[in-house]
Order: sequence, then C-alpha cells, then structure tokens
Amino acid sequence: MITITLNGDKHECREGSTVEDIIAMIGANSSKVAVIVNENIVPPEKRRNLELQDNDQVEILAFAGGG
Amino acid sequence: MNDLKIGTYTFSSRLILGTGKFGNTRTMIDAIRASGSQLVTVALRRFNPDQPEDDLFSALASIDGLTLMPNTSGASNAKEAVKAAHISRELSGSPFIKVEIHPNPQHLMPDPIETFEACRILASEDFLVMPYIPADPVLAKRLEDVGCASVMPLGSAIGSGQGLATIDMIRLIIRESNIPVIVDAGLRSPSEACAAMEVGCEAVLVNSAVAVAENPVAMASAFAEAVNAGRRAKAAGIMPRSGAAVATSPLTSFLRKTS
Repeated sequence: MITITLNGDKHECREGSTVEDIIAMIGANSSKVAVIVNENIVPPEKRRNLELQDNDQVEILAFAGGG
Repeated sequence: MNDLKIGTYTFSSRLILGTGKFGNTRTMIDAIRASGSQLVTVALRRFNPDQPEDDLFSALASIDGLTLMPNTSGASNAKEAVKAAHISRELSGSPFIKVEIHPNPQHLMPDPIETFEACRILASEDFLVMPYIPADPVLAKRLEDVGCASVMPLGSAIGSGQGLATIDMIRLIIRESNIPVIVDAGLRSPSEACAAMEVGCEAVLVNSAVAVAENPVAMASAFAEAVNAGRRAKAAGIMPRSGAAVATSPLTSFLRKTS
C-alpha cells in the first residue's frame, strides 16, 4: 500500500493506483474535474497511465458556485 | 443595441451573473435563464464526494451559449491566482479569468499590487483577463496597458449591498479607459445597475443581489431590464443637469389680469 494526500487528507491505496483510479474512488467524473499531482496539472489523457507514488500530493478540483 | 465585445467574444447581454450563494442549483439555472446572461462566474473548489451536486459543470452545460468565467477566489497573492487560472482554463476551456485577490476576509478589498502582477502574467499567456479592482483610475489604466480585456472596479464591498459608493471614481475610470469597464460587487438593487450603465459602464456583474433575493429568478429578470434601460438611456443622451429650474410649460401670462 502507499499513502497519498488527497484534497488535504491522508488516504491509503494499493501500489500501482492511477490518477483515474483515484478519481473513480471518490466518485468524480473525470471530464468534470481538474487534477493536480505535486503541483502539476494532469490533463485527462494522462490520467489513465499516471501511477501515483508514496507521499504524492493529489488535489481533485471542480467548479462550484462563486461570484 | 450593439453587443458587448470582450476580446474576440461578443455578448448581446450586458449582465454578468455570479453563481454563488444560490439556495440550490435549480434556482441558479432558472435565474441565469431569466437574466439572459451569457457570461457567468464560477469558482474552483476541492471536489466534495459528499456533495457531488456542488459540481456545476453539467448544470451550466444545459444552457446554450453560456461562457464560463472562472474566478481566482481564494488566492491571496499573484502566484496563487496564476495557478488557479491555469487549473481553471484546463477545466473550463474558457480563456476568461476573473482575477480576484483579496487577502483580508474582513473587508475582501482587492490587493492592487498582487492583482496587477497576476494580470500582467495572465495577459501575456493569452487569457482574457478581467480583474476585480478597487475603483482606482490609475490602476485601471495600468491594467489596460498590460493587456487586460476589461477592468471591473467595485461599487462597494463584496456582498455588502452598499451600492455604487465609488461612482465618482468609476466615472473617471470610464473617461480614461479604452477597454470595457464593468462594475463588479456591492450592487443591491436594479436601480443601481441601471445607474452604472447610465454613467457608461459596458456591463455589470451581480451575484448576491440576485442570489439572496426572496425571488432570485424574478430579481434576475429585473436586473436584466435595468441594465438594458441604463444602456439605452446612455445611448439616448441624458440631459445635462441645471442649477436652476427650467420650465417645461410656456409661462405666458394670459391668466393674469390685464390692465
């Protein structure tokens, strides 16, 4: 298992988990979220193959109401 | 009436609507439709698995011809705002970015120095940069010079409903600007939106005044009419003020006794 920080909270996930796996895990639709791993934007076409590493910092962001 | 032009985009509506503070997504969508707005702001937030309905993407996509203008809310300096802009463009595909950097939650006044720096960088990266700024004509001109697509001076503090407290400064900004001036923040009622248009603003941005109204959908419609009325009044040529009364009826003396 590896430990990642997802949206500020620690999460354990299996080794070899991809960004796409994490998006599915939290129930998000990949086409409607932005993903940042260790400060780098991960575009949709790279999410299926990018494997997360121990201690990665992952942010999954979406649009919400705002003025 | 001619269209609002920002960059290569044209909008027949001159009312920009914020999407915050609505009681629910259904009301927000109905209010956008009632307002006729074609440009709406959204904010970037961490995805919340407990409230997936927070994601506005699908709801907003149901409105034809709507362009998103993500904001950089939450940024307290230029670096954070630039980062938020990059993420937002990745997600929205829209070149619009509302730069708002307000480090002090007590008054939410925009930081002019960090705002200028963020705008300078983002304009060089081909964003359509729409900065929320203090009503400062010098700053507005400097932002125009670095390539902002518009400037959006505040009427009064965000969400305060204190109206067009800065109207004299907004007049100065309009007089000097070659880019659209859009009043953003503080408006409370449609008459204030109308007044902003009458002094020459190209558009107004409203959020709280619609979202927290008793009937947001009806209020959105009222704002749209007020914005149109103000625009038409400005185009029609508003009469000059006079320090003295000027009679509208002939002051002939036929009622007076003749000697």
